[in-house]
Amino acid sequence: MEIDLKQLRELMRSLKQFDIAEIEIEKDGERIHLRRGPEAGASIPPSFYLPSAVGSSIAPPPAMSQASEARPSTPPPSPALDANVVAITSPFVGTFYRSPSPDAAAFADVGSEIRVGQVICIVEAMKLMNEIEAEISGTVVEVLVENGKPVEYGDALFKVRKA
Amino acid sequence: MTGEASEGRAEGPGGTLAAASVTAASVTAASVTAASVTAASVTAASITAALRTRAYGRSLDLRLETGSTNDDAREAASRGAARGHVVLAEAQTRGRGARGRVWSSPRGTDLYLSIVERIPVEPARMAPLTLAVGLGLADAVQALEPSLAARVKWPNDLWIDGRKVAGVLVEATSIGMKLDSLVIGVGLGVNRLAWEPELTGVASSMLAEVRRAVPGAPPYDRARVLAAVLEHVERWVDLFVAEGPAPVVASLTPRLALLGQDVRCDHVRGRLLGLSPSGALRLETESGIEDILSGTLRPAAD
Repeated sequence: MEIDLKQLRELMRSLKQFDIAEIEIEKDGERIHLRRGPEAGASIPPSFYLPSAVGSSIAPPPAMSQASEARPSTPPPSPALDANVVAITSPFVGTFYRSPSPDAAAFADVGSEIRVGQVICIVEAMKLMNEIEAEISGTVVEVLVENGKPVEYGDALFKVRKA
Repeated sequence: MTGEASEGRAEGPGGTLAAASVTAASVTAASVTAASVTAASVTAASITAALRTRAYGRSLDLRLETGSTNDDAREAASRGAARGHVVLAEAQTRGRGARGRVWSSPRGTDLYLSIVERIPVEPARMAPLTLAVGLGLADAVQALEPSLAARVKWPNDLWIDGRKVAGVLVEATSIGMKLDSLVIGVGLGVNRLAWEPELTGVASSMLAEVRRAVPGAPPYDRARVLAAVLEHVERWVDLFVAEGPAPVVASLTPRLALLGQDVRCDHVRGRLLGLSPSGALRLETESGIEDILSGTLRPAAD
């Protein structure tokens, strides 16, 4: 198995976006095992190891640091890994806005009850205002991006506890 | 407007706005009688006669006054309005630009319209749509009045001789990675000759610009202006959907306002080089070339 750094990074992003704690991919007897998030309350970075069967000239630590450098706006994973808490991600590269205009109230805040189809933020690029609607109903437990900051495609914006 | 000159042209055989509106729901002020609608009103008949589009404006909702045509078009979209459905208002009470800014929308002189779009472009690739619309506006103005050099002030304004003549506000909603609705809002200064103090010297109209060279130039028939806007915007949006941002970027770059000049876009300062292949604003800064996706472009001196 050839280790593709790009794919690996994608994989690590996916873990975070979809709040998956652990994934193992096995192909032709070789294995990649990724595990993220703190365990039992301990604050450790996402773990990453390659079984010795995998021959690779790429050292894992640089891979991790590159991945995290590429996503400076993303805060660390929330302490609670809960299957009911899911992330709402950005379908769009642009600037994240929490309200329709600078002096208006936020669409959604921590503790807000949201329902499917409700607008929870705007991501803007080239003055195209893309209102992001919630895909799920529930309660906002975390706002992951600051108002006015840039977001990338697939960045987690909110964590929502499903109703 | 003082538009006696356009009276005959604007007044189609279908009569006034109230009488000629296409959709029953379109006349919001039912008490407005035919007699009280000014001769300069845009009528459905006059628009339809001038239309050369495939989809844009083939379904029309003309309103004497509304809050915001973008809101109306979004509501229409959510009720299943066809692609190209247009809401046009004689006046807006809550006309808006980007980030909640007000779009000055007095009655009867300009065009305030919103188009329901249903393009098969995923949200991630959608942003340059604003540029396609701006390019369509520039082409429409140029087609109607070749003497006017219309330029796009990235990403969403139309400038003539440094003054703002039109603005574009594209509003989308998406759910998951899927586009839910898309509305293209356009405000175009057509026959207006006076502005609020804060807009004087900043905003302008096609007529005001033409009259700088030709003082007695007659007002424009807004139905014809609308038809040209819809034709050229539709053409550029179709091209963007079919071929992506490349043709839009190629055609727009030489027609950018402030091209080659020292500018700033929010906190970034530099010389405006043009656009990136995806339509981002490209500046040459002290620390190298920067491509910018968001921000308000201004001359460096402002």
